[in-house]
Amino acid sequence: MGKVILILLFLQIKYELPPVYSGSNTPRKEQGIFDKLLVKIIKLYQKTLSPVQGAECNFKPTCSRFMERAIKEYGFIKGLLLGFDRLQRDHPFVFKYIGRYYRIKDNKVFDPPEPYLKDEIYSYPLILKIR
Amino acid sequence: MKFIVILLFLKSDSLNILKFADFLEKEGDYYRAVTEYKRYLYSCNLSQKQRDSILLKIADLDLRLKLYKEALKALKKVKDTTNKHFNLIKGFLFLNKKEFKKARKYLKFSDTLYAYTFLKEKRFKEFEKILGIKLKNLNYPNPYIATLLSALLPGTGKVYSGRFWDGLFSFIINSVSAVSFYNYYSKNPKSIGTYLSGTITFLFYISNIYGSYISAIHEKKRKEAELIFKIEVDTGIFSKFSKWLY
Repeated sequence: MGKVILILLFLQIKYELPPVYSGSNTPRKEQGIFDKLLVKIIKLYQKTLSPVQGAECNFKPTCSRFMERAIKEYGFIKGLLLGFDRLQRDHPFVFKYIGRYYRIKDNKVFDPPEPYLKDEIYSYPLILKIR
Repeated sequence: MKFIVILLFLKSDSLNILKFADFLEKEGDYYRAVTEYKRYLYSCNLSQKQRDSILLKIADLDLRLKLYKEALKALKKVKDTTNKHFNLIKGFLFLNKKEFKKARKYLKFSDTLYAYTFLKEKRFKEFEKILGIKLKNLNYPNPYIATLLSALLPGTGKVYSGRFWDGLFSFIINSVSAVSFYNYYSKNPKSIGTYLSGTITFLFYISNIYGSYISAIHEKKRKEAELIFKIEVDTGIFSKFSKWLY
């Protein structure tokens, strides 16, 4: 297990920062070693296992992308917990919550992590009811 | 020399600039409309009243664009501060900046708007007192109870927060991962499978507790936001001022 972690540490997987969510005004935290390592593991998953599995996720951004962005926004612990919580929320009945907690974007349930711990997220469904 | 020529050109074309700015505003191109209004302000000799009205238009558009600093800059140049429209824009500016005390200072000319500042601050009792309305009681889920329930039995915290399906699937996922961990552990307590499934089980368990806590907070805020929104629609604030609020 330790060797795998060491190999992953030395693997130079290039990744780009995702486009910044317009609602996010807080400066991003500096990434630590664990953050970078976890992001690299997620990237590895996205390159190897995810294409085999196919586009199964009900959400947009996908669960792996959500976790990656959550780690970048909130740091290692909160990001990891939010990501694992998202994995548990990704079930076939999630579409029942549209209009109440989420809205649709590109035929997927839109749930970005950046406004997750802020106030803006609650205004989405409310405005939808009127417009 | 070029600069003077441009200035002369601007001066001769000032009426068209105003028409063009109005057109851009109608089209919804607020950024460019602000620029055109500023050009008009700069290129024409206007009376103080006209200047004030253009400055208020600029502040109005900046507020729609959520450029609060720019809006405040424009409002500071306005001379006639007794104007109702001026107070309205400044009040909503501070309201959007969540500076409720300052917002109250400018919106006190209307009881509804004054009370609305308390509503936005989530001081519901003051709102009820001013308008003499009784708001319906909101049954909020307590985040700490949701956390405790999730810690005792995974998924129950989410059911308590009003997310039945999330709770059910959390329970299934946690149970499956716990059973797999038990299987690995009973075969060989020091195998990679035991460590891996143990870590995943632990992460699912903790994240479910954290998720329940957050979903209870979300539910509370969602209910509050829905109540505020309903009042905005009922009092007509939404129809009149949604351009500045949303």
